[in-house]
Amino acid sequence: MLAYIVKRLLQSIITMLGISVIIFALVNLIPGNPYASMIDLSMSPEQVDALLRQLGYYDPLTVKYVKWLGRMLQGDMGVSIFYKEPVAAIIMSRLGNTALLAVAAILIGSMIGIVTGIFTSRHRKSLIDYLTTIFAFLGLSIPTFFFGMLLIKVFGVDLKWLPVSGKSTIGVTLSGMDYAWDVMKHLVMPAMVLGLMHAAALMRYTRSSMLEIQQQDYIRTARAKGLGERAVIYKHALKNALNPIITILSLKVPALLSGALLTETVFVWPGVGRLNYEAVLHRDYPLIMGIVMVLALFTLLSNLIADMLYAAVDPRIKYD
Amino acid sequence: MKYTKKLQILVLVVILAMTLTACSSSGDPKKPAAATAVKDTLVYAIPISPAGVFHPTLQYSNYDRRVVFLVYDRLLTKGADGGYLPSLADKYEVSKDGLTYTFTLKKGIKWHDGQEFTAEDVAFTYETTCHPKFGKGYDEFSMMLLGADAYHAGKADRVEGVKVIDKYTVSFTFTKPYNAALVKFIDKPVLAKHVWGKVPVEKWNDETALLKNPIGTGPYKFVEFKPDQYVKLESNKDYFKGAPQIKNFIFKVSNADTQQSELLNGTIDIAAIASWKEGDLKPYTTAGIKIDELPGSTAEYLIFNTTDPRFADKRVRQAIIYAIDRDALVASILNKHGLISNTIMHPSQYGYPSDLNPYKQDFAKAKALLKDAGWVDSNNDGILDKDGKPFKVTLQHYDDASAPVASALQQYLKQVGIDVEITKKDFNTVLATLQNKTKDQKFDLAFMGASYRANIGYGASNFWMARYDDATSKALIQAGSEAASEALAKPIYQKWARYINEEVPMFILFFEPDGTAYNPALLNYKPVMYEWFPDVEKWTFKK
Repeated sequence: MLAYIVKRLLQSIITMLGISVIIFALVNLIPGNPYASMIDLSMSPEQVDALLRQLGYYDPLTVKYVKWLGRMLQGDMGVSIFYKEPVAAIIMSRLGNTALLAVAAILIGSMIGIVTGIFTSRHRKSLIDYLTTIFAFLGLSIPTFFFGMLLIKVFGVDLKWLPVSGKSTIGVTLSGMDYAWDVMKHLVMPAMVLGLMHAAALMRYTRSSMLEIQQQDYIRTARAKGLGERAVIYKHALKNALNPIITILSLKVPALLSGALLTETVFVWPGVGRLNYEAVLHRDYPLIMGIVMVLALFTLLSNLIADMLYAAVDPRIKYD
Repeated sequence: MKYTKKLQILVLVVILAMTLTACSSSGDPKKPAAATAVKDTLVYAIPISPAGVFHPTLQYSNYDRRVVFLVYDRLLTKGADGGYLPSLADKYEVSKDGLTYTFTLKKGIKWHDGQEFTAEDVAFTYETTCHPKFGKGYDEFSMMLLGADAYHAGKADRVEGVKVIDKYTVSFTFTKPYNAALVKFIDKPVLAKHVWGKVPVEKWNDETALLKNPIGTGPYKFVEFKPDQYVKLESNKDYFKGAPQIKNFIFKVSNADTQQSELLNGTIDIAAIASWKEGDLKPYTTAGIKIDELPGSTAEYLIFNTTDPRFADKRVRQAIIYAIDRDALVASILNKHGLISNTIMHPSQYGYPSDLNPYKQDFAKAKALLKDAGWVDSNNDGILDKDGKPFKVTLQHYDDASAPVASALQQYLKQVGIDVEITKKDFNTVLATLQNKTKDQKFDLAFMGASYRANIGYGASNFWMARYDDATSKALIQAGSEAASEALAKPIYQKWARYINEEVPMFILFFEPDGTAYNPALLNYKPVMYEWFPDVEKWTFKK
């Protein structure tokens, strides 16, 4: 097992290197210029040229990459062009917020998704099954942006139950539980939007996985030996049905981190998604690279964790 | 069995907790409505997070600029009538030859850290922009200063033209008369020498902590910056124009799409008006929210690639402009809240001539001009052609909001036989394309926006119009800026304005108004052009 993990980690390093080359090339190929809006309009073209040269804008791509990689290997992700701050510090300051949102969304999403998935698989072709299926497809197809605005309209504006945007109420100083409560209220809507999107997908996966398992021979055996329906479903079927769901959940982690972009933008949640969006708008190359590399790392790690969990829940799977 | 029970209970608890959270907040008396609970706080909405470069001469984001303008002061500010008002400087004098500007500073002004503000700070601010390693390059104002070139080349220790005469008097001497200098002084606030003098100029951009914790002389002191969330400022009790009455000033990053909701909810006090459509203004007016409208400073312009042989011919450029009905555009896009300009100048500027060609829509004239230029529809397919090539162009525009204008332009040009293909890019892409004539970035036509500054000829440099490298235009702009006074500059600028009106390398379709919707309880809020916070120390909330 340990050897396997080490092997996978080594593979991950090579993958990361490959990702960095591709992303670096792509990022630098985006038309635009990170310094475009910083340049004073009264400067002559010669002075603009001199400034860009001084800033290293004209360096060939390979030189830029080697410089970047060299710094990266020393643990330095560079300095953001727009924010004039070390990239690592900027990402760290937003990562916690995104993690909070992602965890809340996973909780909401898997809770609703798995529970309704099991329920509908047990009551197949019932009215409730059809209704939840319809809702699931609505949830899958409704654009995040629209759903977010809808929630804002209902809960933020009409009912005035929840704050419209931000992470905390500004202008007041809160501490301890009051602060947690305040953040929580700000968290509800974005977490709902992000969570319900995933709930819809999870529900479909759970349902089909459960249905498939229920046709297995050992389920019939369990039923034949007189086990109650509950024991059959939760003890025999669910455990096995959970396998693919664990994969889906682990694969959702990077999707939640990067996919939070729209949700974070609508609700002005100060997370990595929004940061990424603004970094691209400003053509902040070092920052884009930093964020993408961090997301790539998360993706690779969550894949690895998915495989580990697989072995943990299914004794048939062994890694040597 | 045990596990299932536990799981069921857990699920129930979580669902219950969630419902309770949602419900209880309605009955909770401690609701978050910041604006109603804390009336000593003003929340000003901004759509994009500041970069956190709160530095008078290094800042480049319009949102950092807002913070800088509250935390720092300028020598002069712009008045409602377009004149200059004293601020840090009590008065200024221009020498007869127009070369030297002498400022007499107010006495007893203190920096936020208690140090006294003196002429040294002023000299330091404008001298450092001439430094060879200054982080934002060598701009026109700096280059015009006497002795700046020697300093920039490292051949002198100081800029000769910047002189500290005594503790409260400072003078600037330029190599040539420079009437646009005053505008530069209202554009760049004054830095604290005792703070920034300790750091070598080439390292300024690395001083994150200093950039993010500005010390100024302004009406508001910097308190806290939470990137992507807010900037918090607090009233400077020792402010030399009087302590601001509103204790806290907060810039809140807020989505442009939800700003309206937040303003109506009272969590925001001031927000920019995003749309002038009747339906979008109505929620404000019915809720009693006040609206302030200023002649706008955002120019929406159509620009030609004048190095393209088709657009090198000014008749073609004129024809395209004759095809456009700008009144109709302003009526439909801005609900008539726009301003039209017939040259690259704001109509309120002193050099704006009254006798410019208004380019009223005239298809016949457009077609005649195109015919003169050799464009005829020889194969009757509805599209003009010349030397066997059809007149097909691409029009770049920069965001979703500019899409209706782009498609209107497409329709207008179709009427005169020009086939326009629209491509949407983003702002930075189009800007970089316009700025860079060396790189092979192709464009035919672009529809772009730019926020305008007060100096005439702003954007007239070959910078926006990198491809329109016209000697006459450059000479006129230079002559205008080097005239000894605005009165002498006026006829030159008028000449330039007429020349551009005739040449049309780019054309301002309209100026979007600068509108803000604000809390009706806010008193004395009256922005003027180019000034967001005039007399901010007098703003107050109705009791």
